[in-house]
Amino acid sequence: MKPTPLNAPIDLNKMPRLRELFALLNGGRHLNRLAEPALWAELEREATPYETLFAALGYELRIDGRGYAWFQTAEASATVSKATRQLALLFMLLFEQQADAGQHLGRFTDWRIDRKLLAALWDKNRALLEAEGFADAEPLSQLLDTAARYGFAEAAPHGWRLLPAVYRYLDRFEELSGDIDPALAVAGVELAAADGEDA
Amino acid sequence: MATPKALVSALYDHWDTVEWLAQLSREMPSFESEHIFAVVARLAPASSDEQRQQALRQLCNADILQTLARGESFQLNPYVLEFVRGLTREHELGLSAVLGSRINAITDATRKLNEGLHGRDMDLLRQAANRLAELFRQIGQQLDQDRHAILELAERAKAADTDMPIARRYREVLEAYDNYVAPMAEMMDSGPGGTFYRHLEQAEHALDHTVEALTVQGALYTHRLAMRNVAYQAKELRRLGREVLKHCSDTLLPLREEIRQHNVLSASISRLLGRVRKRGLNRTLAARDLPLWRREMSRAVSVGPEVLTIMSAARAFAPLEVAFPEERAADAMPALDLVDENELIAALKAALPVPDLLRWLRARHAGLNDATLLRLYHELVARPDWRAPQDGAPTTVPLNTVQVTLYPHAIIEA
Repeated sequence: MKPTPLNAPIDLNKMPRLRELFALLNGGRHLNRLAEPALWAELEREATPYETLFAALGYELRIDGRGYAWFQTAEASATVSKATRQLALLFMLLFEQQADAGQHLGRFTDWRIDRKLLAALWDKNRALLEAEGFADAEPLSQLLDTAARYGFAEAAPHGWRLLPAVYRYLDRFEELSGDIDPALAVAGVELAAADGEDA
Repeated sequence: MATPKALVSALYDHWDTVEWLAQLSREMPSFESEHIFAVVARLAPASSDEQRQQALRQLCNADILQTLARGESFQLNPYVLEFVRGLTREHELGLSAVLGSRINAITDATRKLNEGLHGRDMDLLRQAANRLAELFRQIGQQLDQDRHAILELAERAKAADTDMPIARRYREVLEAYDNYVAPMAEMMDSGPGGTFYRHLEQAEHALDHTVEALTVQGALYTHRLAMRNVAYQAKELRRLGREVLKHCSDTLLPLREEIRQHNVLSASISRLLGRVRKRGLNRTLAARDLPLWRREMSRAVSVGPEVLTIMSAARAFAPLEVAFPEERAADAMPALDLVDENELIAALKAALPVPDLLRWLRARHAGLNDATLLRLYHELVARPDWRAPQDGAPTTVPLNTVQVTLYPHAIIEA
């Protein structure tokens, strides 16, 4: 019988950087092709054995073809919950800002994000950011450091650049805007339906 | 008409419904009862027909919903609508003409203020200052509301369907720009054409001048303070005006100039951000809807080299010899005095009559602390065994560290 990849024996010799990879993913980081090409190449080559091995240990490895991988979980710690919310806000504001500036949103990994950009961002969204507890532009750069710690960005000369893992947020934004802003749209539809029944 | 308390209480009970109705009233000027039932049903899907009808009845009784004059339709009480829109940042863009006429009214009030100052008419002065304060408050409120209305307009345009032709998508934006931002920019022009800064500046000068004049005249502090607060308001309003204008043009320009990238992603983000602006981040985005990742905290504990250093230090521990500061402390403290009081009383009885008790004590116990000596003195004077008449002339007795001036007690037999 020809063995399927799933139940093929796992050859640990083919995974020389298993320990490093596990430490990175288990520390909450996203692995990006752009940032760690060598690790990514190994993960891509041995994707199935890695997935099987981690699954056996109780970890759910997710690999996205756009060049990033992470350990998925349905329940996050308080730290991660807070971080993900703040990062979502940061990315929304950044993309909004860059869209206004006419930048191509799909090429976000090319943007250079520096303190000047963050200061402009804070200035433009002052009321909103103050309401969320950002007293000035400094917490924004701290937030980018947090993003770098989790593998959504990396430090670049004079600033940061975003990494493909940000696609995780972009996907969610499109889904969420469809279902969490029902106030007018859905009510409008319902009321229209109610009108129809009346008639 | 319902009492204000009943209205506010009903608003509290039915806030969600009213919030939705306030949003809907943008699209529909009046509601049929079915519309209201539909909203209640959406917010509380488990509610029965009767509960929905009760909610409608309560809203009507509290005067939150009013029945239109000819027909069965309802509309939100205009005060409630204004209040809810204010709280949820759902403003309609005001008219720049309204803003313009309020700014022009500043001139009138400033003239009255000057008249009051020249005619020394305190009443007129106060009226004019109050009028100015009210105008500043109204203008400030309108500027703030208009800013939110423009953000809302921009968000709607940005969040619009990507297939919609540009001209239609940005129609509202272009109108807002031409009818509001452009006239406002003209009004706020710092040159001779602009009225905003000029009138505000005149008002500010008049107010500053009034404060000075009142200080010279020696007017009541409260009057001067009130006047100065109005002057501060004027300065704050100038700042707000500049900020709002910049914010509005920054928001609308990328749309007007069609620089902005418009696609499904930017539309979604704008829609979400609009929501965050009105309801806050935590109410808009739940963590479970956002990307999550696993982050194990390492629980391994290992002993670092620092601990080895500490351990070797502990093994070679030799206690340091520390000289105790007791002896010096004893010096510093007053020595305890031991007095045989029974013997003292017997001696005093034997020595009666004593003309000056303190001198007698002092002569007998020269080594005692002053405090102890005086305590003994008071105790002996107060004893019932003898009488202690007081001399009419003062005398001074030197003790060890102090000297005491007193009307001395003598001790004689009872």
